[in-house]
Amino acid sequence: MQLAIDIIPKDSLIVIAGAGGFIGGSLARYFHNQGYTNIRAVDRKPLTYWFQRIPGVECICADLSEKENAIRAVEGAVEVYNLAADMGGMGFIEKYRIECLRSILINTHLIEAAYRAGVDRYYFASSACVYNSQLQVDPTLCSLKESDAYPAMAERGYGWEKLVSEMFCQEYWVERGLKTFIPRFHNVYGPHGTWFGGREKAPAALCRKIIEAKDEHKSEIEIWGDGNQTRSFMYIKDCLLGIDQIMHCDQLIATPINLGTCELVSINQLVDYIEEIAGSQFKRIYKLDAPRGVVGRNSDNTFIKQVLGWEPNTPLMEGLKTTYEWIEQQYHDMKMGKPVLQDLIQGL
Amino acid sequence: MSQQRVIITGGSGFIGTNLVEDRVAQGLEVLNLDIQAPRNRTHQTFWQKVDILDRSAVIQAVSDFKPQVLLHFAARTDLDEHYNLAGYSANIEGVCNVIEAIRATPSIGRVIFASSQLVCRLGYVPKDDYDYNPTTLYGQSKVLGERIIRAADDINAIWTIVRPTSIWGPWFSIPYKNFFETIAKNIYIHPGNIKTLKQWGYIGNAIYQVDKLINAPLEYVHKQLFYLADYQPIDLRVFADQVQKSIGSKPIRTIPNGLLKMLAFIGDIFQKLGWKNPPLTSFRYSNITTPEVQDLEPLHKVVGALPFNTAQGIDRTVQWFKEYNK
Repeated sequence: MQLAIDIIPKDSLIVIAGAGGFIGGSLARYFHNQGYTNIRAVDRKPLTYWFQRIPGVECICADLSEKENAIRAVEGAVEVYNLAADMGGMGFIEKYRIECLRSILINTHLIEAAYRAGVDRYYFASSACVYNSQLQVDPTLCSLKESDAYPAMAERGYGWEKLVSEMFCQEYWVERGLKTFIPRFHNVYGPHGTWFGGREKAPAALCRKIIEAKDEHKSEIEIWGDGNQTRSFMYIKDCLLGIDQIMHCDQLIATPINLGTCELVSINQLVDYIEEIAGSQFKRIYKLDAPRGVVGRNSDNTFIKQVLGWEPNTPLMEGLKTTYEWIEQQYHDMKMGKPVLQDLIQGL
Repeated sequence: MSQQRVIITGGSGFIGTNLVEDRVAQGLEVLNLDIQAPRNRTHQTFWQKVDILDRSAVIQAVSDFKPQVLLHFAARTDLDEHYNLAGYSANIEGVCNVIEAIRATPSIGRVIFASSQLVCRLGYVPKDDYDYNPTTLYGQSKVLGERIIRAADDINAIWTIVRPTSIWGPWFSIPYKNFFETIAKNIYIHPGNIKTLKQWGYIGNAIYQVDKLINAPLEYVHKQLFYLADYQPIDLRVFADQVQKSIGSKPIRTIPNGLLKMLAFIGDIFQKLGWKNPPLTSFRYSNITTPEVQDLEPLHKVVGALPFNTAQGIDRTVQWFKEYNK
């Protein structure tokens, strides 16, 4: 296993695109905590809305779907992590396909700029949404191995954007020798993730619903779909370690690889877990016309175990507990009138 | 309503300096919060150095002073940043901080927030208050500022947003100060055969308008948006000629429009080569030749007639030039 600290000096310029978001911001903090002194965080969102801002990290607020900005953002970089995309949970992805598709501009400009700037390694965060949707119609038999992306029948907006961008990454290696790395994230959750507003994903959304119901003494919560749809969920800490390992494993150049857990749960089970953490139970109202995505999806981790001898392994219950506590804190802060996101910024 | 105490953020800037002067002349107690020292040195006593991005300092200064009125004119107003919107944090986080300060200061009854006409591209007349169309990062930052204000619907004060247009007069700086200076130096040139109506605003009138907005009944101004300008647009050529006459410099020459366009193009090249402020660039050329006319009727209704006509404004400005440059 090889990590950034094993091969790149602490003053190397690391550029993180999408650093105002959940995973990008956590990654900036991860490298900062490891002693990297030259991190450039880029995001389109105004600084006020960044999920995390880390002191000592250069923060640039620029839209990377514009070529000039992409060129400036990667100037002098040794490594570039592209985690910038317009995205959200199913509620967002199914409603705003154009926004999702437009993210293609970010990677198109960024990878070209990175290649021209002579960066050593380029990381593109792909997604399990690239997988053929016809293989995701059974809630139990839905483990997806890397080759299952083809024949292609990806999620129409977000999935296709990721699939085509993966192809860019592969061809930049084949034709131009840029080392690219292409993990396919499966649902990532944890503290500092979106938890309200429409872009949040299932674990955070369900935590919030339960916290809200508990706080307002309600007896029921709303579930999107019939609750039988299945997923696997990866804790942010595993995700960060996975990113670092994949980026620095030469065996994985230009090779899409699953980055997720294989602990498959149904949404109903997920609710069971959160109820257990909350210490109360609720009547579930199933909203059958709500966006719910594919029926079942799991990560087949054969390949990652074979290459890295590792797979994301934080038990769901453990990660959920931390996440629940964080969201509960945020919820009460917000209720008290504390500006939640801005608090994070001011606390630094 | 008692308005004995006023805080002006950005009171060292162009509009801010004039606001300070006017409020002091009215016998009000004034505090200017600005990161820069006052450009009018006699205003030193009203100034407290505060970075608008320093939230706790802003809250502290405002809540300690307990003003009845807050005029938020602090901003980064140049257009130089083309890459990093965070360069305009003063216009985004700065607004958040001022709002927090208002929340923490119950004495404040009235607030004016200064935005900018560049929330829309020059020459564009927005369909409504929410029709944004910025072409610069500066404009984007001002759009965000307006959105932040509108999202803060829990503040108790009566607030109004103003978008200053082409405001000019004593204590101004770029770009309109340069406009006067080039005329004085006889290097200003009219573009041939072009009529460009602009919404000019003499600073004395703008200050008067702000004053009227602060004192207007709340139903006319609360949560409203107004462009700040003199009511009648004036052709650039007519305006420039008036300035020239007041200064007493040589009559302004006219050159064919095509030639001017070419000069602008050459200016662009120099700028790309690293000359920061060439006299003419395509950006400026388009500013000069794009008509900018807004609907001033809503403001007119609230404020009524203005105290200065254009000639008076120009005379006062020329007078200021003479005194200031002594």
